[in-house]
Amino acid sequence: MDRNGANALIERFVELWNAHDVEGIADLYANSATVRDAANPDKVASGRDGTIARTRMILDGFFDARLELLTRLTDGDLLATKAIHRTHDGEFLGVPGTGQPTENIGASILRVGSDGKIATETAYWDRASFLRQTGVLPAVAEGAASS
Amino acid sequence: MSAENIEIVRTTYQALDKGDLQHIGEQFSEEVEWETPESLPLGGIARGRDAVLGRIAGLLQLWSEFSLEPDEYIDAGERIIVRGVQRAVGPGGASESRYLHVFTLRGGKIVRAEYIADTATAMGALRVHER
Repeated sequence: MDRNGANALIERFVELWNAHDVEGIADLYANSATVRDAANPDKVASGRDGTIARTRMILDGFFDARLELLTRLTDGDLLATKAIHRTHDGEFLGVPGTGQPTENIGASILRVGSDGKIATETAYWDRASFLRQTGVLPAVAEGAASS
Repeated sequence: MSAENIEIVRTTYQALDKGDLQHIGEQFSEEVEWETPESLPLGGIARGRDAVLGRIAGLLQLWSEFSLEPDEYIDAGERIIVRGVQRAVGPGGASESRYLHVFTLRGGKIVRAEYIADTATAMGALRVHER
């Protein structure tokens, strides 16, 4: 995929995410696509059903989930994005909705196949940051480990 | 230039593996920024070569064993993305996490590095919540 195609894909990806268009998001992935969460690498979402389930899992936890593209890195078929989610009002990672505003900055590496569809995605984000923002983990103490 | 940038990042990793702060500093611009997750001790943004080297030195002291093991260097022009695994041993035990390290280079120097990873296991190994 050339740079223009890659840029168009990532812009469409963000647009569909922010419209919470679960089916539309799934259309961007190949039917055999795999999506891996680096924070939980043994758990892989596979195929259209897996992609839809993963998207719904996130949207169920954050009714106003929104992606903001902070950085765009394109190298052939590779892209990286950053994400910000919002209010945690539903269960996510086993944590019932807290109503807390959350900000999770992460990145995804997307590999795009010759068909122009996403073949693999690996998402990197800080699970501990989410748990801290929702009060599941306490905040890091002031001066902890003396930064 | 991108191949050179990859080599600069690779050299930085090799120096980090040896704890060679001087060699690491040679790869940085004076105004380098180094960002790590705020959920960790020493997290947040360090600005300037001396501050960043101080941050790295402090980081290495937190752990009895520490390694960043790159799996892949992705060439994105002035940015080099490294995917890898951090393995470390702290007072609470061992931790392992997959990370993404995004380096920005200009003029043959690293001007920014951002580390993105889940810090949950590292926080446990550092006993952050028992302090």
